[in-house]
Amino acid sequence: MRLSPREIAAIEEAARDCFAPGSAVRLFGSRLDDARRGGDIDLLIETPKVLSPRELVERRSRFVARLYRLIGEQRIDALVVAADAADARPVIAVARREGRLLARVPEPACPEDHEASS
Amino acid sequence: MTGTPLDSALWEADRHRQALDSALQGWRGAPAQNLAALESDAAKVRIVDQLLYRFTKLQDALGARLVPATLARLAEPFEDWSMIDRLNRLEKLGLLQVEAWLRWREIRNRLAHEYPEADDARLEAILAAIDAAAEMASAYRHWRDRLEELTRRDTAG
Repeated sequence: MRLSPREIAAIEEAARDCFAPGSAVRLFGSRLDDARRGGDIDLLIETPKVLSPRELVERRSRFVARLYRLIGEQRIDALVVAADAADARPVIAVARREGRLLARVPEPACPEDHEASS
Repeated sequence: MTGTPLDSALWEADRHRQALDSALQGWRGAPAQNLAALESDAAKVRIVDQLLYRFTKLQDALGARLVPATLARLAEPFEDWSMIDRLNRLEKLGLLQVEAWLRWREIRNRLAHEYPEADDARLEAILAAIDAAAEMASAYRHWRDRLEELTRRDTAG
């Protein structure tokens, strides 16, 4: 996998800022291949709940903008889908199949409170 | 026109902003309510294309030319600074907001690379770009005014 620890930490931080607890970020595409060079950072973000199209576009934009600030402007393709939703786009099937987990947005602190309320 | 880098950067940005303003006016006069209404109407598609094209051109002109020309005019030692450092400095000087700028970059890059959108997100992505274009046009006007203020103070002091 061709991402630096700093890039991975930035992805984790940006995901925490922009997506709900339980969301997972996976890397797919050319950056998984150690033999290649450069290429887009292709990310699949799976959220626990379906987002409205407006919310999806807004959060995705904030997420990538946050990454620009943390690691500089790069070619980043972020795909956002609900974890259990069907999606007809071939790229989503590929991303789901080969994606490698980079980060998961943690549930809020105080797990006891959280459990008690659920 | 005296032909300094700042003058020519402003001249170029003004041209794009004028075209952008007229496209925005065209859109607001008859916005599309949904994707089907947009895609079946050649005139609307033309307006949106013009709008997105000028949004990209204005942003590129600001980033590549007005950012360095502004910092040079204000005698900032920016040559070795990264883009983000330059933007942060401009924010400190009250010329732009970095958070908004980076969001516009994301939208611009997404348009340029034509990443595949789910159908229902396509219209929202276009609407977000139109909002960003309007924001950027007005941010540029503010930038221009603020720069004039700063340079006037400069020459007065």
